[in-house]
Amino acid sequence: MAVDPAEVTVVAPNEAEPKADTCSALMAQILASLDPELQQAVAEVDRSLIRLSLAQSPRDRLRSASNMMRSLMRFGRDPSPAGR
Amino acid sequence: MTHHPPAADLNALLGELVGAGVEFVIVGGAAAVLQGAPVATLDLDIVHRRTPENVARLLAVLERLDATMRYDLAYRNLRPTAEMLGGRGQINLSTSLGPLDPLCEIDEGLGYEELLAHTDQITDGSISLHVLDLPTLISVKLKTGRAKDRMVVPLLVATLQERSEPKEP
Repeated sequence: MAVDPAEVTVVAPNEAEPKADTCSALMAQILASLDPELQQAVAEVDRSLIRLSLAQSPRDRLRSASNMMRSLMRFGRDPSPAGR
Repeated sequence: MTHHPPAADLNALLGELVGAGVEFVIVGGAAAVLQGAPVATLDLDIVHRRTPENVARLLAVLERLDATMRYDLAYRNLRPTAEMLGGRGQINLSTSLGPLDPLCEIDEGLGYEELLAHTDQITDGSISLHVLDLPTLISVKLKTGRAKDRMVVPLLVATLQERSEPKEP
């Protein structure tokens, strides 16, 4: 089912357009709740895949995730002699 | 013994549920994916509304998808029932479209009604989905205390940060 990303909208039920300071406060709260190890891990996350995912429509994100899992499962079942 | 795919066809499963009018909230890995986190997930986790009418709609979809219990080592092809779906447990099913987990409650007693206020509604014109929002997803993952949930938290937080960044004009 092809979906035009322009048609896709994400609407938060309680606040259609959260203000920037609300987002910052929420982020600060979430980061503060993490232990130092997780805070360090957040800083080290490679953001490129996240940006690619956010550029897709939600339905395409689902399709990509399903395709990736199917590919991984195929590798698991049919290991090629060269890959062993 | 039935042979169902080991990985969920997320779009097809959601299409079946929405098409049948089932009321549910998407949680777990599929929620993370819909929110933009590049994570891998084998199954579709949903928290369904436990009214008798909605349970009947969900059960009809599950019957059509040949749903059986996923972790029945005796391979008895046990089927989900309305009593199970109306209870408080978490049900792991194998279906003809891959693994589907209808969860009556998550995170110490949160059901459909409680979670609905913590969802984003994602709509594409033909389909409208209630997806657990990222802050709640992060909170749920942290509370489980399981290593596999803890591992995904940095990616979820980073996704939330990326989404919060001001867009370039």
